[in-house]
Amino acid sequence: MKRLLWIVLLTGCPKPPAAEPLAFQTLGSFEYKDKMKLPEDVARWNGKLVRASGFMNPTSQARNLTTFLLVKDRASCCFGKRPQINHYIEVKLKPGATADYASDPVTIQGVLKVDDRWDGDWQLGLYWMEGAEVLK
Amino acid sequence: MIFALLFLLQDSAKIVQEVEYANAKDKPQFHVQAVRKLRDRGGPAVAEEIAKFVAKNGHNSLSIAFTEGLGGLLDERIAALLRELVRDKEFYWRPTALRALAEQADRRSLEEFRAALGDRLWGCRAAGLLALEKLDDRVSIPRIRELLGDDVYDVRAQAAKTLHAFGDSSGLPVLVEALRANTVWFDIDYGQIAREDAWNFLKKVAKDDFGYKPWESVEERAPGLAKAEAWIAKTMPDWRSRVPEKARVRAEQTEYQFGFELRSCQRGDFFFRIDQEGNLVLGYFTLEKAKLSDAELQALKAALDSVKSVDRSIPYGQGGCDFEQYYLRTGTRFEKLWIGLQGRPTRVEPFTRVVLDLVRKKFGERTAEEFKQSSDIFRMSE
Repeated sequence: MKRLLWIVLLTGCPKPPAAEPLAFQTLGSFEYKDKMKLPEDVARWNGKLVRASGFMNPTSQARNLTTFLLVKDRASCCFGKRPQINHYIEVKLKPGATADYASDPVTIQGVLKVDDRWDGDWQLGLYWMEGAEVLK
Repeated sequence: MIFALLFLLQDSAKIVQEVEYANAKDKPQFHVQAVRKLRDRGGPAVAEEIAKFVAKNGHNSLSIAFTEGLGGLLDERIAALLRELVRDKEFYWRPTALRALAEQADRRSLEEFRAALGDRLWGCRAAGLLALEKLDDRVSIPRIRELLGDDVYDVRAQAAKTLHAFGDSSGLPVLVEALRANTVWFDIDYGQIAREDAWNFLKKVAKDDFGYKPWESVEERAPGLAKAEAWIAKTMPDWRSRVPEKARVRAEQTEYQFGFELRSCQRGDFFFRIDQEGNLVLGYFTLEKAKLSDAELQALKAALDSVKSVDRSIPYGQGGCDFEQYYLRTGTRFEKLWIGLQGRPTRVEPFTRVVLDLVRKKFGERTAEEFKQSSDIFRMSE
């Protein structure tokens, strides 16, 4: 038992994977066409733990948000402009977590899913992050 | 025959769904898609369904994306609806409706467009200019020239671009001057937005980008700026004297002790600051100053103390594209208090009343009325 303890102490606990910084320019730098094959430099982010900064899009409520859109700039966040489908991430926070709307940029961390989801003729979204946390 | 009928019925059900989805408050992700589908479809059946939807739900049930999309539906009923939306002073998206009408270049709306040049909302003035350009309405040139001295950069710039489209270069000095724009509103660099816009237009006119990069520092921009100014001086040696007073860029060295930013998709924007010299400074691009007396500053300070007592770690009211934001100085930095629709805490109300009185006294009834109209939607009782 002592020996096992020494092995654990010497090798250390496995570290959680570090989140990779993700820039919106990467996700939004192509012209999206319905049901297209996504560029390789976008698709490669699927399933990765990432950290992304942007602006929260305030929808119908401002407090205790459990989901929100993270958009790349202020213009699409606050002034009535709807962002392009490849210019935002639909963020769902960790179970039980909430966040209040902030007008300053925020950084979020979570696993990004690059998944062109459709319901019949209607596109649901392209970039998703579930179990996310707001870092600042 | 039966198959054709079934096909028509199915198509009609799809149109109903598309109009609903284009405006559904709980499905914002579908707005743009639904509008695109309706625009691709076009035709009288779409116009008819839209008319039915508006008759049933009212103007303010329309989303901004849908209102914008109406511009691509060329049908007399749609043009008539857009005119109706523009005339409705309570409609949330009037500037957008006017832009959509401009996209249609509808000659029957000429009077709407001419009247828009005097609208209270700068978005309407800019859309009116664009529409008159599309309709080649040269009768309006004298009025358009006046707008080169508008309070808002976007309107001045559109006036210059519209005049240029008419073969009149009298607005170009306004754009060249904007290459010097240095306006900063706390953390937003409006100067850069103006510089980029002006440069993008001028480089096409001059067929030369002057080696100027709007995002670089003042020092780095200097050689490109000199080149652009030399370019205009060749054909217009007196260009500097042609820049209207309100379009002239001034060095802004002032420190501020407070800022108020109101942005409303519905009612328009309103900005003011209090500088270190005790001036009430209105606007965010073209600034108007009024000196406050000691008594006025005292009253303002007391009201601001009440605002400062509100917990600013949380936002108030509803999310959306209408909000007011208070920039409160704490030491060397500013903390923000964010208030959405119908969310203004009671302790902020005295400040709004004091400001309304001051604006009325210093800048007149019209400006005070603008502030009141825009500001009312944030009161809890509204």
